[in-house]
Amino acid sequence: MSRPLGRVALAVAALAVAGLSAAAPTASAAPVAAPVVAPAAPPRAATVGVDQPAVDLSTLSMIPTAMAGVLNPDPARTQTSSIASSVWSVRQAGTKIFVGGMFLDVKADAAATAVRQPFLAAFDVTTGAWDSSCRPALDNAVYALAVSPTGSLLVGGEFTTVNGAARPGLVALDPATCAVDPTFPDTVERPYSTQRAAVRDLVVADGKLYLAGNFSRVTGPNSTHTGVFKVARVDATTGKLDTTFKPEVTGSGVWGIAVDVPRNRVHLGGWFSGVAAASGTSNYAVVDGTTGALATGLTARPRNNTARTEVYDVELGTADRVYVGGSEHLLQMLDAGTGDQLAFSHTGYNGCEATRFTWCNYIGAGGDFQVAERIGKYVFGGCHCNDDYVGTSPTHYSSVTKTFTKHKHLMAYEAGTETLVDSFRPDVDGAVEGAWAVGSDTNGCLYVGGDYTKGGAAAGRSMWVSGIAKLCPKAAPKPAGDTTAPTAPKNVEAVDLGGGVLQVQWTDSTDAVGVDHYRVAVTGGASVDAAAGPAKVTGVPAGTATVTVTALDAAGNVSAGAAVSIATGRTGGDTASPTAPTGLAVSAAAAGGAALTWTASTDAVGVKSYLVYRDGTYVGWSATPAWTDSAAPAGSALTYTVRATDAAGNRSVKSAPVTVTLK
Amino acid sequence: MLSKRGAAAALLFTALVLGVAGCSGPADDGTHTPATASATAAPTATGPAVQPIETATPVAFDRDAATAKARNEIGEPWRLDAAGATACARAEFAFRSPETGGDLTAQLEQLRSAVRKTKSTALREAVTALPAGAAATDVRSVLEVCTAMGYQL
Repeated sequence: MSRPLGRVALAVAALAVAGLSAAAPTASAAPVAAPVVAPAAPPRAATVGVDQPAVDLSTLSMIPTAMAGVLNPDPARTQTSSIASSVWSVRQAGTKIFVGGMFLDVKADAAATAVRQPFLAAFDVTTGAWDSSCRPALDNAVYALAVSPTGSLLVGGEFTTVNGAARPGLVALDPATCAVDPTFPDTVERPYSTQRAAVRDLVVADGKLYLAGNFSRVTGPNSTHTGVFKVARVDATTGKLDTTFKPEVTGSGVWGIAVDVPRNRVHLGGWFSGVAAASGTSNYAVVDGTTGALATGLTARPRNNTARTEVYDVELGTADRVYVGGSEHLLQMLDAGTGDQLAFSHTGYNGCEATRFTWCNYIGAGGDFQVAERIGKYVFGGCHCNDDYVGTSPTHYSSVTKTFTKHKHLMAYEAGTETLVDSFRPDVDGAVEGAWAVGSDTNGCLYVGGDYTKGGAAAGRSMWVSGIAKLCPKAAPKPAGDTTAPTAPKNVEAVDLGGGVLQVQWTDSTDAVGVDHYRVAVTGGASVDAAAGPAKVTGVPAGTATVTVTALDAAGNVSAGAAVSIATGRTGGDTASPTAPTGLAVSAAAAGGAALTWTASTDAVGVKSYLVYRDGTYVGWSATPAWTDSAAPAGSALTYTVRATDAAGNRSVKSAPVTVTLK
Repeated sequence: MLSKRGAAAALLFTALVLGVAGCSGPADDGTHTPATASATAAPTATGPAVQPIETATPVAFDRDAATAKARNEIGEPWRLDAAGATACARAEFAFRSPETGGDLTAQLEQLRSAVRKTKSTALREAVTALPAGAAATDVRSVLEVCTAMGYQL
């Protein structure tokens, strides 16, 4: 779940990734109000290593790219059975994307038959297809994945056997064959407990592998058994235990670990009662990188709930920052040198900042931050925050901007300042658990894992997603082997704006891989390509025109066309807009979907049609003040608005919104 | 299958969670199913054999301990106050000192000091019962109390 801040980029070194460069440390965080303190100047420049390949959020599509998925989580195969997330970790090794978790099956697409491949599966990094030649056999859940300096896939979890051999908690696999790498001998034990030993996090830094969990012994080369306290450091290639590094963590488990190489410190987060039995060290502590002794003199971390202080992940940002995510619905950015809180984000609370964390008010929704992952210049924070608003109140708060915004599941922050990337809103949804894993690949795609089940809803699409969602650059390489055309667009509507200009819009198509763009063609030769509607076509002659819209995917497959005829040649005259529709009402339609009615608008010349929007996206039109959205999904809040158009192309303002949740 | 102690812990945890606003754990609010102590297979211990302490005879929850809203990693209620947690950590260090190279004498001294501040009668009594010059194995009785109160090894 976490990564090192260090001078080496070992985790993907074996990938020989071309074009990656170390991100320069960013400037200090902008000052923010109490309880956030002004950042201290770093004692020395920290060279930032690169773990997972960088992604460019300015080009990333928020609509997922199709890939195979994982499903049927089995919480009984874990000790933390209340967390039913299919996916716990995702990592590229070689040409494969490995997905680990508590799932039992993999599936190629919505219509395919599920295939039993529990806890760890591999997918082609380009096509997203399941790699059926890679069939590692583990008997219990996988929580953490990393890549060794020699390119092996390091796997941590709660399993006891791998490919039929005893390998409790930790194993290295050859990513090409998925066979056990016999040169890496380490496993973990928990002999004083009836619970299985578990490895919750793995970080490779400076040639060392840091492992964290709830184990109390490490079995190393030559079958040595050495007592440890939930954290250990071994040679990432040979597995030899570093016995000088012995943090004394007690209580429950360590869930996240981050290695600050320049400061020679290691940050620990989890459910533990303390380090070295010192007061004030429960659930988050910093230890010396050489001995594992508790680092002292750091500012105590503010907490917004005295009963809920668990930490799920820690991560190094840039500019000497460390992120701590967990209860209660909180992601904090601390100064890695002093421990001062520099910024924070939370969901479902208010009042924390104004009261300097002495009192916080739970307003509903939101969820704990359970993964923090730095990829390139961003830190991604994931939580089980499935609702981005309560009533009319947005739930995500940023101390940097001091504003609440509608964000959920997975947020992106500038790594050095915790400034929210407002435009990053992945169009994926799940049931309860939210995001537990974040990864990236050498094609520039971002992966988010959890209990995801669908995608594209915000764009009016209904896409199958299962456990893991893949977001790729909009100009992603053409997927090989895609011969399936998108579905035809629907509800095409054209308006003559005058002067030979038509404005056209439609309801989006769906595609197995993703629609790349739309082509709007008008009889007589005029046409235009557009990423989305509405689109304007110019040079249309007077008379009667037929407007045809087709969808194209990245492989060049073209959908069937959807057409509408329109009288053209308007020269002007009516410039007045219709009145806005009023009295919008939404109810469940008898045949399924949402039935909308409203009071008709008025216009100086005459209302031509009404345009219907679901969550801000155009979904259809009607010539009368009623329409049924037969594609409306059930189970989530949908907000509708309607606007009127007249024959001259003038549009009214939108009606007052109405929100409904269909059963 | 839940152990007797695990089932009792789950019930108590449920009762504790119901009265607490905010997020009850790693699931969304209002939809969270409280965790239970999941039955798990015996560990594959390939090192020196030891008897798991958490299978020892359960010690009843100490009604004198401070009411705790926190949980341990598997969702059981945490019935140790801060001083009790510190004492349990010292007990673990003492018990495991032969394999970790710890200083048994120093840890026992720290244990006896730390336990004075806890409100847990059972824990105080377990430490008091330790003989002078106790061996590391003697501390098992203290850890049995600790694990019955949510402390995990």
